[in-house]
Amino acid sequence: MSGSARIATEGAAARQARLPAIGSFWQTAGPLASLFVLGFAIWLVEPVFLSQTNLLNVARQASLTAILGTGMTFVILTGGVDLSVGSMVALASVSGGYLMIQQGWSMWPAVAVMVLVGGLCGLFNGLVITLGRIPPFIATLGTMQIFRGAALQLTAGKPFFDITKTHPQFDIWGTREYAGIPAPVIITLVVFTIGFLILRYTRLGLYTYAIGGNEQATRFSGVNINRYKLGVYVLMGLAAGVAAVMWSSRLNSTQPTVATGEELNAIAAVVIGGTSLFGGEGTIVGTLIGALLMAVIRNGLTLMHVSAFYQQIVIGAVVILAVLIDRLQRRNA
Amino acid sequence: MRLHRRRFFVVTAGAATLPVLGRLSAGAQEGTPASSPTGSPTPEELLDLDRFGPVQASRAYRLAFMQPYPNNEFWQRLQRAAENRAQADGVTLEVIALGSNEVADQVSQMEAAVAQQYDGIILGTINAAGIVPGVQAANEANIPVLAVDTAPAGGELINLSQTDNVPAAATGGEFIAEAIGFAGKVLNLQGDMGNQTAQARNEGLHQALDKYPDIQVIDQSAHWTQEEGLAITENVLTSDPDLKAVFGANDPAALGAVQACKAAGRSDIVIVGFDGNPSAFEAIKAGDLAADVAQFPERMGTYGVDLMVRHLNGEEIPEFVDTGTALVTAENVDIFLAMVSGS
Amino acid sequence: MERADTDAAMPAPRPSDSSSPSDAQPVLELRGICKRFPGVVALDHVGFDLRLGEVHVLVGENGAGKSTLVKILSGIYQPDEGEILLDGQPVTLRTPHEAQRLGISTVHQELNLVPHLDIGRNIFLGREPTRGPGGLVDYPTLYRLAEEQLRALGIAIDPRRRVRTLGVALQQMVEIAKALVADARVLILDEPTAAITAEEAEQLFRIVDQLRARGTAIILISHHLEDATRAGDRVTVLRDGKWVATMPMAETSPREMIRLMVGRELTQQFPKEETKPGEVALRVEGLTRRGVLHDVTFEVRRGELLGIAGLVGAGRSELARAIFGIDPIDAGTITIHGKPARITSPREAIRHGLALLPEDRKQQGLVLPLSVADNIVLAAPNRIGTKVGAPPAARQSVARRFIGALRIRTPSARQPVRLLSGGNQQKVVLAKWLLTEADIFFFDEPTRGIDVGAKVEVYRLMNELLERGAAIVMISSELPEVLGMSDRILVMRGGRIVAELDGRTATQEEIMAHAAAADESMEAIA
Repeated sequence: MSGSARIATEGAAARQARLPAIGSFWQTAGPLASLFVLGFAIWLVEPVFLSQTNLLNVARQASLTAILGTGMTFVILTGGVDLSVGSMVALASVSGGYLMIQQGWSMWPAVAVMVLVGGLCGLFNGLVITLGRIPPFIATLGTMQIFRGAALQLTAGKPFFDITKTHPQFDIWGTREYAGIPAPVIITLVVFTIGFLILRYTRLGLYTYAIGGNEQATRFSGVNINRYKLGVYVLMGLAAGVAAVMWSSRLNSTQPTVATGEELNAIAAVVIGGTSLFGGEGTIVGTLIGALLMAVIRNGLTLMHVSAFYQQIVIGAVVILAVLIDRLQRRNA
Repeated sequence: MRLHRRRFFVVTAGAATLPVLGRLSAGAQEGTPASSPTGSPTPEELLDLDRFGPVQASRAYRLAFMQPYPNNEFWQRLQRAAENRAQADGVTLEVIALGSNEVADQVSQMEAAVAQQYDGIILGTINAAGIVPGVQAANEANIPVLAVDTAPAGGELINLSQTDNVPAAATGGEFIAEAIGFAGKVLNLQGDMGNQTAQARNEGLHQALDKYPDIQVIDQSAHWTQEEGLAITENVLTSDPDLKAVFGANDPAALGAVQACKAAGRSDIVIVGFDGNPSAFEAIKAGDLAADVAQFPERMGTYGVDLMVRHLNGEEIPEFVDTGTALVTAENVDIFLAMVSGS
Repeated sequence: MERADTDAAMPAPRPSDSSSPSDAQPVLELRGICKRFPGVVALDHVGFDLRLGEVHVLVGENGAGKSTLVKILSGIYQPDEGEILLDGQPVTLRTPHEAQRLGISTVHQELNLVPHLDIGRNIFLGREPTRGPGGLVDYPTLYRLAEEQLRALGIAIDPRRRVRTLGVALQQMVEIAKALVADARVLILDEPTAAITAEEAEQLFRIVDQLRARGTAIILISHHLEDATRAGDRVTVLRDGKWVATMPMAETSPREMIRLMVGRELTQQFPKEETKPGEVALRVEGLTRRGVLHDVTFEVRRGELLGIAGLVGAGRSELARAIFGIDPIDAGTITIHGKPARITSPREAIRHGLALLPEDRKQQGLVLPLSVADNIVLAAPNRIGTKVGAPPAARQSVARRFIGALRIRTPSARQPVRLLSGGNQQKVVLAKWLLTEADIFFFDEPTRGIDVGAKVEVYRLMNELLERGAAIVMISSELPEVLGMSDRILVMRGGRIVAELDGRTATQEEIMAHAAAADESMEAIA
């Protein structure tokens, strides 16, 4: 047997025995440290960075990625990926706009439908992946097009603007503030907390890790893999539905082209947060930090008036750097 | 640049339009800021569709229209106008819509159109550089190509009908400069700067604003999206609370800025958009947007068909037509709203 | 091999011959090697020497430091202290490539071949013979040389065959051929017999004998002390990262080696206790899976341990998989505690009280990144929490019961299971099935990769299960284990049961005679 690996890890085991507090916190230490270092660096150049208004801006701007990232953490933990989240947000979004503006629905049922549309998209993804036995990458590459196409078809490509004109209450999800905290931030925290609890305290959470860690062994342990995978993709879809409500309200419009490419931000947040793209290992807290990290970079660079080209370069570099730091840290552990 | 050489042959549709309407881009191009409008033109007058037609075709030509973004509002307006005019001119217009975002697919569509021996091709291209082989295929088969909105980077065209983005953006810039008293910070929400149109609008805005030493322009790309327009404006309102104005290189970006300013309670900020989307007109009506540089996709579609028919009839036609823009403000927005609801 | 170490002493081909090369110059010498990992000293001033033309066996329990030593020698790890001398000159082995260049080649337990390439290309990978100014690969020459190399090793096989289609044993031979092409003077074989049958092992050792005769120095790492005595000239025992002893093989015995390895005397290797078999727990009749299993019929009683022997590929693991609902069956019935059972998935198997401890623990038995606790509760979440809930605290408290009862050595229930040793991992798999309250257990190669001390513990746990009335089906390639533990023994060959033997009276020869009779599947010729 690979005894040396075992010796090495038994070393880690011995150390861990001395440090019983080790746990999920240390897994997120890398991204957290990056977040603080980066925040500090921006603050040195632009002191306004740490102002309350700006920090709320960052939180607001991280909300879409954070909500989608929460769902994406589940998907990636199972060893899958969902490339269709941006399109799901768009379809759920325009469904709401269509019902409210075109069909004259009132807000509450329309919002419920938006979340439901997200959930159904997720269910569809899950069915294609489990019953169709199509790898998640391919399946969601397909549904990414399908959902986006459906969104464009539903609206003939047109956006619906100024929803609050006819539905003044629609601003409660994305624009209003409660006790000084913007609605998107509250919604993000709620979604995050639910995701955290599911992952930690339920069978679905346990199996999410198990499936990604070793699907075969999990199946041989009698776990109904398909059922739980389906559950994970539905969760992802529901998160996209909630994100669609929040984001449409924040933009006060629904557009079939909204959230284009957002799947990559969500995946980046998950990966920056230390979750393995191969599944089985990672935390949802890390994803939240990853989403914040990306928002901080964008915010900081805008505050410093850095041009868009540099912003892309910097964000790309940070994604690689964060994963690199994580890898080095794991090697040492 | 090809385009500038062509300016010698420019017939500015806008210049000939509506003296009643102020601040038309063609006016700005000639360096004469227009006076405020007197009286209200009808939507028909505003659109000025009959500059090159209707014209009776010598025979029922078969024309192909390459539609790059069948789901985009601007292109849908352009297509509708072209279809209407084709009917009036007595020619057949077949719409060949691009299903993907791939220029390679559009090149294939061009090659197929050449094989099908259309009499002429009206080209709305998705990518100026990538479409060149398609244009060349048509050139070799002696099928005339007329480009609308975007100029292919190579190949022979009989005409290019587009918004001249540089002077048009400059009009928006002049409006901003005046509105903020020629001093202060202006946020420029650029488009996707890898794109020719985005660069032209950026250039036009700087042309207008850089001559005022007290104006400082903050360049940030919103990549044509409302989401980024919103986020960047939020951030800049924090870093530069003394911001005076925002220029959106397209309407969604400007509407993002509107959202940010509303949320921050900054009704003092002058926001100007670019496109002429109905949503922008609504925002002007609501007092959220100060002005919008409106393009005329209807003119592109209509002129394109008329000019193609004239060319096939054997007439001389101009190589370049600036389809013009108009600066829409609260004063004249009603007429534009009427125009888009009519089309 | 064209190399000719004419100045090297030509050792005798058999280890029993005592004209050992004790006076030969060491080709490789390690002095005071230390290697520390965070929190543990893997190697503590270990010294070791290897002479030309000798087979030097390294033995020790898991964690003794054998594989760390191998990794240092193959350039994967750098020692923290100590010297490596090659032909008396100090060398540093910074990368595997550098080690190879100096003539030290390693055949790792996880074979490093490109499965989609053929044998010849694998053998010459990175050193293909070329021709012409453009450096085009000279394939005719490559295949001719590969064939010669293989023939020299006593293997007649087409070098154009893809490696993917070969069994583990032949893949190992290909690795050895590859090492020889790389002009290896020192060949390290890491657990070469772990995944091959006894017959294949014998063939491997004949090749080892040949190489030794040609003057290659060989380091052999093995769990099997029979391997050591069969092939070794000298043996070095490591324990807890320390050197314990180096002895000529002729002057020691397996018993002494075990004593040195574990630091104590193991009185009984197979502590089988007599139990009285009860009623029939599982009956399988006419089980057929086309091309794999043919009309397999057997039964196993409560309190009975049924051993299943046979060569690799005889259909033993496949039988367990089919009964457990992993692979579909074409015909046959399964009766459990007198009631017919239709099992089409592991879920249903578990519901019927079946448990499978698979051969490949890491791939099929465990979720390596998950904690000990989560692995234990994986198959029986209904034993913790509510319908949907599975709070970590509940998982851990359930798991701690088993950690205590099975003496699983882990710092905590939250320890990722991949950090445990093989024996403790096996106990985690067992704990998982105990939690489902299974009473029919399939143990597939239960002690593979487990060190000597832990093996006995696994056997004791089997005894406990039998005492509590469980039925056990044990599939094993280790005949002493099959003979030592089974009440009855079934021998499989070609997907059929070819013999049933009494566990008390059967012999190794008897089992092998049934298992290998007229078996044409071996491609290699001796």
